[in-house]
Amino acid sequence: MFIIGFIRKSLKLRTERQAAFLRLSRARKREWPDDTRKWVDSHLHDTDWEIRNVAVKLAGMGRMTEYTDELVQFLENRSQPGFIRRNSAAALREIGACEPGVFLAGLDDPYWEVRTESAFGLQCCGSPDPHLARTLIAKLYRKPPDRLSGYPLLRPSRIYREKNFEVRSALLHALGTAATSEADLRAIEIPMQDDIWKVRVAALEAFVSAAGRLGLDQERMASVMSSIDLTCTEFIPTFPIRETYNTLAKISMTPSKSEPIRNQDNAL
Amino acid sequence: MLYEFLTWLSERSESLSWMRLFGYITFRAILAAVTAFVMSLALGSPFIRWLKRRKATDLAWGYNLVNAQGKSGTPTMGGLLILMTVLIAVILWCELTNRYIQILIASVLWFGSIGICDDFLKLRDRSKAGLSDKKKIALQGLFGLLLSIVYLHPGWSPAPVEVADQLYLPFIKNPIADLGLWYAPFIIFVIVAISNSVNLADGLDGLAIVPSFLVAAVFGAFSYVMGNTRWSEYLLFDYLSGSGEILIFCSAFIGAGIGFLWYNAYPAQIFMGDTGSLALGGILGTIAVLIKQEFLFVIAGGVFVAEAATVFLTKYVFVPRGRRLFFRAPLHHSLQYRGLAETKVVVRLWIVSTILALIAATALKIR
Repeated sequence: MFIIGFIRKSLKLRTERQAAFLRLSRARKREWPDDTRKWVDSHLHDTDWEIRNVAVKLAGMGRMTEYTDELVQFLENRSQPGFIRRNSAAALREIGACEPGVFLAGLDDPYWEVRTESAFGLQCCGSPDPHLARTLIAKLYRKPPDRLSGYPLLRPSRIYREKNFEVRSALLHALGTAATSEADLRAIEIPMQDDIWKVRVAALEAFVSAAGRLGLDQERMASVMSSIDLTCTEFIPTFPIRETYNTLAKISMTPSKSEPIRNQDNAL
Repeated sequence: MLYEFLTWLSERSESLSWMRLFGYITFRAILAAVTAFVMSLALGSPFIRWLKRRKATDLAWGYNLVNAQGKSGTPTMGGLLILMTVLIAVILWCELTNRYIQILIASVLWFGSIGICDDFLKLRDRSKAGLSDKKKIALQGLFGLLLSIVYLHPGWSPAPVEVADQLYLPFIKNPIADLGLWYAPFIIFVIVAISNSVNLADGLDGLAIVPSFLVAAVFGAFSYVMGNTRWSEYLLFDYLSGSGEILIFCSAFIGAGIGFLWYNAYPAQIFMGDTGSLALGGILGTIAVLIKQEFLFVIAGGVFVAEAATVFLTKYVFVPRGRRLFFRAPLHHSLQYRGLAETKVVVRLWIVSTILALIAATALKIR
């Protein structure tokens, strides 16, 4: 009996999961069944985390603001699986829960993807704010930037509190939005020497965002530009034949002039 | 075939006695490598054209826009070229009555067939599905089972009975365990694990082929030593009569691999597909079992092991618990995610493979 019960339970779970993933894939194709809101409501606290995870994603994709409190609770609850905490942060960002406090808690999460999404949330919902900028700098560096003497040659990662490069990039983007002073700009400038080009790009983008707002003189801009490490370990190839093929494909997609005449013939 | 003919000729006439040269394993190994390489180069272009004509391309052809940076439309099933050239070189230069060679030819045909079925289904259905994982593992396991029966049967095994079921570790002289019949499930595990690990590594241009022929080079050196009475005695290996022929097989493998790399180097003109990756893994697994160096693969094929480990940990340990350990899996995608270009990832993994192969080769002496 125990074995039959176990098999029945497993099959039910499998069917429910398949139904949940089907619903998610339809939502990704922008096909929203009418009862999605009702489904999210009944599955947001499902015992199976994978189904709960789909409900969280759908709540974000559908911008269902009524679930903001539940999503905040998921984000803050460390007993939830990492994917649910991460997707809760992403869903809150999509919903537009513009409370930096909501995401600040996520920056202390032990799971890096949650910290990344929380930092992106701060970038989207944040605004120029000296307090927020100070908090972000404290999350990014072990010491205040004015006490860091340039970018260290040996063990550069020692200057960072945040070891994960993706979180560092997201924090820099958020800092670009929150920066209000020259000291904040200095904090953004340091990672322009980072070993990972993705962090350097993030620093550069953050600097562009902040400098555009704060206004910098040409001399300062020139000194920043001279300090940027432009080496990059990645490139995006373009294959000329593919581009030409696309030109031909575009032509083939546009209806030819003779088509209507042929249709008329057929109609006759 | 040619080997037997030339040996026969050398015995017939004094003026043709120089043909005894073809009796030497090392000489035939060089010839096998050159034959496989030249044939790969010569057959490569027509083979690619043939695949294109048969529409055996990576993704569906359509009259839609294509990704200007992508590789869809590149011919796949290039593994067939490797297997063909290896088989031709082996048939020409190996002693075909040798049991090791017979088993290796069987492994080429078996794993090649699994790969061809998989690629054919993918091409026919224009999907990424192909053979299901369970079917693939079952077929790989079945070969492992047959190999274990042949290897452990005293009348059929190419290895001495007292050695066949012993378990050896690199850098250790004596066997660490006498597994008896338990050696059979171990063989099945080794074959399935190695075959799939190479299959998982085949994700970037040139990534699977170079580490594969480096492992083949290490295994070739070991098989030569183990099949040579003097060397095996000097280096304290168990003497495996006839295993030297495996060196010729490995050389053909290396030649075919380099020839394939000619076309597969970034940006690839041809992909090996599962036809190649499953077969390469299956062949390496079979050689590892035949020369009793299963654990040596962990060192020499460290890149494959790392690729498989990242997938295993991600798929079966971390994702079911709702988190990710690596940025992406397999390892090469994780490195790309960190911002390394495809070419850089591939070359760095080649470097790592070379160093690992050299470390593995030291196990010849340090024991």
